[in-house]
Amino acid sequence: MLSRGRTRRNGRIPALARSCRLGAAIGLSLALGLGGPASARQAEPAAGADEAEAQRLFEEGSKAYNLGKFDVAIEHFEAAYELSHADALLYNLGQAYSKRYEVEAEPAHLRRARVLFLNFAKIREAAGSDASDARERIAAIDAQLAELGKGEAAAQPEGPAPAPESPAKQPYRPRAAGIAGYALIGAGLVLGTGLGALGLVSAGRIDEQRRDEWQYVPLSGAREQQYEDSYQSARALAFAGIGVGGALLVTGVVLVAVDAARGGKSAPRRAQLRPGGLAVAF
Amino acid sequence: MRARLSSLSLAAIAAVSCFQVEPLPDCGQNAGEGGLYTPHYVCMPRAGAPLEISIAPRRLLRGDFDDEGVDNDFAVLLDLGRIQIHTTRDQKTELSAKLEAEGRVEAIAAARFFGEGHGDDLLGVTAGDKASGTAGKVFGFHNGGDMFASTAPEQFEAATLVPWGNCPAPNSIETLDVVEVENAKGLAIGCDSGPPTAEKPEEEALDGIVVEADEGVPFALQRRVGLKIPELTGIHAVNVAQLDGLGFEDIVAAHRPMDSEHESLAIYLVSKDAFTTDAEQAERLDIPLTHFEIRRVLLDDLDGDGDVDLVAVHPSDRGITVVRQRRSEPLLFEAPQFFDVGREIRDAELGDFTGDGEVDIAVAHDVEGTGLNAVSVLIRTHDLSPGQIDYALAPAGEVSGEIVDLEPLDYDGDGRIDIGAVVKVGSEGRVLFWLNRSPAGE
Repeated sequence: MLSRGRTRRNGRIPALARSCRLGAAIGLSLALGLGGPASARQAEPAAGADEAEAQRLFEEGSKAYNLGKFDVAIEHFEAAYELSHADALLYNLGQAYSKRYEVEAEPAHLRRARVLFLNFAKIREAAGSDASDARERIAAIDAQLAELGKGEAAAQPEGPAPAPESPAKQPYRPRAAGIAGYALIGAGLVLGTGLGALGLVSAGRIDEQRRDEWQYVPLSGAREQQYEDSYQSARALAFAGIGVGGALLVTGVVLVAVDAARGGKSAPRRAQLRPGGLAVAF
Repeated sequence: MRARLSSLSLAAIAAVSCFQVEPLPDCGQNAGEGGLYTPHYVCMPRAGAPLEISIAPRRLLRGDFDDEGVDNDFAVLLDLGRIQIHTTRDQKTELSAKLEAEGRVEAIAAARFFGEGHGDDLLGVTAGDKASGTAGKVFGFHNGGDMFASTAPEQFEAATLVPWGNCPAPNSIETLDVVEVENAKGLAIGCDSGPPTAEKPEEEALDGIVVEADEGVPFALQRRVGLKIPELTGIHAVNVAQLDGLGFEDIVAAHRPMDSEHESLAIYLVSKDAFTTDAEQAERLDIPLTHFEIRRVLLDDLDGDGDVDLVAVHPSDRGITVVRQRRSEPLLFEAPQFFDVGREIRDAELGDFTGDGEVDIAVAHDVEGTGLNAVSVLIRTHDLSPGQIDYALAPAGEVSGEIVDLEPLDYDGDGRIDIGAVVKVGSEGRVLFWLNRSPAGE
């Protein structure tokens, strides 16, 4: 929180003022982390009008923070930081983003908060000051991100990092397994219906022909056997075609289902599969 | 997504087509209008328009009247003792002669009987008077090579001296032949003797007459022997064939024993001695059957074992009896087999009508509930052991009118047995022929 009445001397913020501000900010943040409504840190007074404006923005942001309008608080804190460059505002912003995550549950807010805490910690540590509080906040955020299964917090490089983009939803595009599955479905349908129908039709025609010849005169044993052999062969072909076709169909369906479950992300491509001559193009 | 059929489906079609069974041959045109047709077995189209006859026909007889060497000519026995001789050349038939015999002609036969160097002569029997015991007559028209130019027949009374007797009711006549001899060697005549007449109760009529052909002897003086068997009331439906392998053809006739309601087949084994006045009665074998009324006796090797088998046609019993001969000495026959046709039979004939080398039986019969007649074929079935027979009845075609007689002949001279039929339509008639085009024979 910016205090009134303090002025820059020789362009520098007095150390006491800075330490007091920081201590007040930390104390206040700790209080807020325990359930307190406010989360703002004290910032160093800006020079002149900028300082006044920064102060005003900070207060407005604090009000918004207290009201739970974390997006408004972030805007004000960012604007205040633009004017004051008070690194304590980084901590405030981290807090605001953390709170915002609690409301919107968007992992991006959490990652943003981590970046802000990290930057604050580095600045403080570079200045020889204690940043354990910030580090604790970072650790807590890492644990949260780990639970979310992202694991990106551990891979995030130290330093300012751009906000990660949320992945846009892509339409399903089959990969190799899915393409093979569709091919097997097609082959199964052709074999099953084609050979099955041809076999059964042939068996029917053979039986009809046999009955036609047997209409008046019983067939000789040799001819009867000939008919029986051909009839059984046609039926065997039909059932074999249906069986193999069915197996291919089921296998193809399974492959397509598995591929869809895994979420094919391949760019659309033109498939030219030729199992037995069947051509399928997407 | 787009898809297209490819070689996979075509290969499947080709593979499946391998399971086809080559169908039995068939005449696709169904033998045409009025033809005889049984799918895959019988294909007999009509040989042109039927021959119209103004008098009701009674009998159709094949012969070689024009000495062409092919039995594709025919004689039609009409009412009122009239006989028409038709000759066929190049499938063209023409009326060649009109003959007329006195009295009611009961039966006719065609054979070279009078001399040589000409076509078949025509022989027959006319009825006498059964009530008075007056004998019938046996007549013969000379072909003479000039197609019966001399239209007056030679004839003699159907009576014998040995034994003494008359045949008032001759009912059938067949010529007796010897293998490799062109001219007939004799005649076999069946007589319906019946009970003795009231005027001559002590006289018993003949049951049959066997005539020996003698070229140098006038027809009326031909040597003949009577058949008189006490327990018989006459024989009918005479047919002849070589049964015992000894020279002369033997006589097979139907008769009804006095002590039986069913008919029997009587086999007379004819030898040279049968024609002499000192001859004993010809050896006779009787085969009792279990059915009534035999209209025709047919003879042929039905089972393919080289022996002649016997077929009896039972019109009212609606079936055919087949008696197979065992190939053994003395002559032995198997138990009769009856094949039911199911309809009243008009006539039947033997021949290979399916072209498969087996003897079939063509049967003309009524069609119940209609005024039509039909021809069915008893087709020899497959997978039979040598000496066995079995038949399957197959309908072949219908005819408008009453089929009076069937006759197998080679009408078109192609070596295959065709079928001729005389059909009575009111007081008129027609003659039609079916040509054998059955697919198995091609």
